[in-house]
Amino acid sequence: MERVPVAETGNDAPVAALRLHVRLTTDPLDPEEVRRRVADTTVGASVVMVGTTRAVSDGVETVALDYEAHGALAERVLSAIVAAAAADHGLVGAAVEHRLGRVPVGVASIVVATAAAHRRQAFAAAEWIVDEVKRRVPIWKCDEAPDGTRTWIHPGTLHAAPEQGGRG
Amino acid sequence: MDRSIQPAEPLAAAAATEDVPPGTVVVELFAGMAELVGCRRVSLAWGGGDVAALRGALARACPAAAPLLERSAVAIGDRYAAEDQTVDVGHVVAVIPPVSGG
Repeated sequence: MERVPVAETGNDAPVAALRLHVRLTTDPLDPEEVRRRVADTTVGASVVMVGTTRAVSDGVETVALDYEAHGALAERVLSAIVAAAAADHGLVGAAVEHRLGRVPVGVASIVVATAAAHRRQAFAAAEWIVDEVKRRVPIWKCDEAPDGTRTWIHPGTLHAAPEQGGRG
Repeated sequence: MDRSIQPAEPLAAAAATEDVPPGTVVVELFAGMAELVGCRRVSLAWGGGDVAALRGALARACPAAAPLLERSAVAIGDRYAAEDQTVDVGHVVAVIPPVSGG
């Protein structure tokens, strides 16, 4: 979803359209570039959350995570999530970029950016977006151990109702 | 990666094309589910039914995948599907195991 141009109101007073953006990519992520996609001159606070591959998870060493996704479904659910976050928290903009493929330790796998007039909305929305991505976006990580062992991570049970592609 | 588990008889590896053979549905598999079945797309002979019926047919065809299948959602096209949603011949269905993005 690309940035939407400025819209006009019925009173001819210009209002900034929501700046929403999602992307799945095998390229390295650039947090500042993602932040610029959501912020404009009306913004008083931008929050950028960068998720990176940890060296140790639950006591087990990792050298890299390998991500894959159901691309079309993931992009549609991500778009619904950022739109819902923007509406519920009064944001100026919201964005998610998620890396696919092999992501070594210390490298970013996800960037979430939110922008609002005030910081509280931006912080709250960023946390909600990350939670929703982890809960219902069809992206999976495969843990790669130092000895080359690969393990797909499938926590819990996915109860994705059909309407969850939309708001919520 | 364990590739020793092969699809059972009713499953056949589907060609990497959007063409769906007559009388079948194509099922896309991801992550640990693809690893269990041993391929990323399978075609399944299909006489009609809903998502729950398709789930049962998949479990019978590939018992090794049944436990993860029980914990998975199903999508038709780019939308999550309800258990009572009809799956038509020609549909492309995806099994969505529990997610772990972020």
